[in-house]
Amino acid sequence: MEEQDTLAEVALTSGNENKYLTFHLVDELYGLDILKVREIVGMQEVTKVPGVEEYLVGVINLRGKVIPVADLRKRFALPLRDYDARTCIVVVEIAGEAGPVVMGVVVDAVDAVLTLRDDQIEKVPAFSSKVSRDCIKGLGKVEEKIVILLDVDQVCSAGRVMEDHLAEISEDGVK
Amino acid sequence: MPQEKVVQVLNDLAVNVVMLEPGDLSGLGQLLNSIEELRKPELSSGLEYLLPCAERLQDAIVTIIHDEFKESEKSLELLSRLITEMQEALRNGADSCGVPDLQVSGKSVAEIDQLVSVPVSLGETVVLESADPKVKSEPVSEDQSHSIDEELFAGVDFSQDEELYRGFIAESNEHLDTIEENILNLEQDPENLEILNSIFRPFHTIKGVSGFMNLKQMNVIAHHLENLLDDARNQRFYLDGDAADLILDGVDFLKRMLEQLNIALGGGALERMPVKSFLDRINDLHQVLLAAENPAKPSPDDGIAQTVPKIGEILVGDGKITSGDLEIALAEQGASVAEPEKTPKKIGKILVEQKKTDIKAVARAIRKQQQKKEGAAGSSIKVDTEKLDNLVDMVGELVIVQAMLHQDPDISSLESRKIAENMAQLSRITSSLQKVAMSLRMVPIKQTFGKMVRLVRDLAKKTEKEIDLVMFGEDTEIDKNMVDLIYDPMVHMIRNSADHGIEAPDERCIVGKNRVGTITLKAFHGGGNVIIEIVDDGRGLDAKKIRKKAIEKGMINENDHSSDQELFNMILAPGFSTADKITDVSGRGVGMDVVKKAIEKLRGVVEVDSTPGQGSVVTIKVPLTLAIIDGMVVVVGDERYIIPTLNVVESLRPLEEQYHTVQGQGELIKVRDHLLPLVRLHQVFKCESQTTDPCQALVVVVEHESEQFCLLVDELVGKQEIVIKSLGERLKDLPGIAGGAIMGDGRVGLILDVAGLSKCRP
Repeated sequence: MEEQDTLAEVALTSGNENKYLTFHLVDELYGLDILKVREIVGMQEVTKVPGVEEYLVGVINLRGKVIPVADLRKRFALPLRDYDARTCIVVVEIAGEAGPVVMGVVVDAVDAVLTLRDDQIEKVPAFSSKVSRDCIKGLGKVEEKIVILLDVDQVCSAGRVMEDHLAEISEDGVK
Repeated sequence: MPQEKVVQVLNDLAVNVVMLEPGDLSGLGQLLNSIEELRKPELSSGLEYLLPCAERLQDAIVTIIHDEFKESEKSLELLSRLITEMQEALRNGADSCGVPDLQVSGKSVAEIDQLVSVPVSLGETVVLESADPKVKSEPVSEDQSHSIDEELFAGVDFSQDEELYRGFIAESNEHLDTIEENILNLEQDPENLEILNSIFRPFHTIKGVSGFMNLKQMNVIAHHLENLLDDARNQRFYLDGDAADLILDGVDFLKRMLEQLNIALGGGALERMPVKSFLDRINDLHQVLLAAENPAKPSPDDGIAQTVPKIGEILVGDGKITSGDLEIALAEQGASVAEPEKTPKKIGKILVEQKKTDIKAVARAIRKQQQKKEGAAGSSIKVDTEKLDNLVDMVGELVIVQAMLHQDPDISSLESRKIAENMAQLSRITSSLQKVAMSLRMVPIKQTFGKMVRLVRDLAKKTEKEIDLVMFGEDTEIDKNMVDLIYDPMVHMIRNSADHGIEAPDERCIVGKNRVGTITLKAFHGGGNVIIEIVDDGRGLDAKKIRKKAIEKGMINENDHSSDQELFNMILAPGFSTADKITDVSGRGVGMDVVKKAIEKLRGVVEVDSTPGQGSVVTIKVPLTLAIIDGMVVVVGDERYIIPTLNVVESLRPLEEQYHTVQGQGELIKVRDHLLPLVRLHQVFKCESQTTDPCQALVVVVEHESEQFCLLVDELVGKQEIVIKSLGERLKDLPGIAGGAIMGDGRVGLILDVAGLSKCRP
């Protein structure tokens, strides 16, 4: 947690610009570091894989390669709904134990590519959103909009889910 | 005037040294060239007193290149002083026309020697006063100057240029393999300069590159072996017997060094290698070889490893002549050899003279022989396997899209001839593209067979037997991954054949066989498999002995009526060895079951057959590739799963009386009087299924390690060849799932892991 804060502070002081792919999930606008994004493909039929975390909805065939797909609504325990024409899979490259891993992330709809200066990004406030804090890099502010910038490595990493659930439960308990 | 020229060269040298920056390798190289020029006889005649000094200079520069001098600045300064002194000496010599005073330079030389810290080896030439210009330091002693037996790769910084080192390892290993192969060829034909050159060149490359990469010990060894080969190239001796052994040992030695280098790159601990003693061995043998005058031509056929067939044999094989004809012709050839004046007639010529065959057939045979010698020398490029895999993936997708287009009702409703033609063309192209893509991974099995030549040679020496290795079908292609995996089992089997199968030469003579035993390696394609046969003409297996042993081990009982064939295959069971004595080659009874396991892992089979007194045949049958399997597609709920056909025994819809539930045992299905446990896939995978009543659905009986059980599925779709895809790092080690496969409609199906499912049984 501390490390995250210091990172955010460093970012505040330097005036770098980064690009983010923004997308919709429920009513919120989220962003992913564009360097992590490989491509965007339309929603397609997903083959369920038994015995994996709930949010990993299955695997798809990405031009001959089999890649796992995560549903972000499930990942963040948001209300579920049926996929529609705007639903798509953002193909991202995340850091794995043995090199980069290609994964798909199901989002409601992609929005745009946004350039954010580091001074437009605020660190995560102490109170948490529905999305657990580990997965959020910061909050970007553009005009009146707020973009939740996700740390996709954390979002998709293995063995994290239980912790997050526990965190949510305890938070709920506090509330 | 040579002296003027020398003065000029020295001046150039002086300027170059001043201009030289520490670490400038090409500059140092130029210096070396200049000094080399200085030492040419036409320049140095009358100025011999300069030679030792020049030699010094050369040594010093070589040492700098090898980075022995720790303080480069200082060493460069020394170099320039040495040159200045030479210049002065020359001037003095010219002035006084007398014996020049080189005392001063003696001091610098000593200083240099101190820096180089090699007082002994250079000692012979160090005494300037009595320096004999004709004494050239042997290149051999020059390189020993490095403190060789120090730790391997001492002072080499691997953190930089790691990739370079890795590349070097891969490349050198390839070179060493080439050398190995060619040495064995050379034994057949010791006078063939072409082969000698092809051994020399890779050593030269290894020497050069290892020197450049500061791997001194490797450099020294390669250098010495190169020297040995160079003399052989200049026909000062023939490389046979001991020398070939030595070079093969050298190859092994270098390979071990490369392994060490690999370990070093990974930061592991290194073992010490007896570099010094190996060098001594090379030098000793080198001296012995040089000392032997008038080298006797070794007979090319030393009873081991006959790889290139003779013309006569080819002709017989082609059915052009009979073996009787050949024997007559050989007898005549033998007679002509007896007359020392004439060169022996070629067998082909004799045969033509005797009108046994025509010149065309002989020419064809010679060409065939040449081909065997050279192999198909097609050009090739190296490609990253990842790129290859990507290509194969893409082609797979193309095939799917092509099939979809083909079946699209909209397209087929268009009654256009043009579209129909184009579609047909498209499907032809995609299918041939697919074939090409799949064949890219295929390599001839020659590579693995080639290694066996060396193995048989070594085994023959070790067991003091005479063994020929004959190979057929080296060009049979097999998946690249498979090639590596099949190597160990083959080694085991060949060891067994050489050690237990082939008898000792005397024993063979007694039973009326040829002294020389033959091991035949055959490879061919059959029924989508690669079949490899290892045939020996040894004593064969003793069925009675095996039966006795099997009874001892409790594998069969006294009244068992297993056929001989079944008995032979028992030697593949763990801990089964019929050898009376255990040798260091084989005989502990661990070999055969390892072979069986390894081959089964490759989804293959091993079979043993034997005729007592005539030898045995081991047949290894493996699929062409590991990437494709035959699968049975089944449906459970909404998903399709693939069961490897290898595991499937049968499928059936059980009747109600076949279905049983047993307290604490779960559900059982009675199939042919056997009660088999039932695994409900929809329960294991926690998904909805169409039916839960086994009598409405289907069960597939599967087998894993001779244990059978039933899988409950909704539907059977059919059999299909599928390409196995990994699910990636994120989804590895899932219970019951072995991988994924792209189905005909482009979606992913999951391949079931029957071994994993067998653990899910209630």
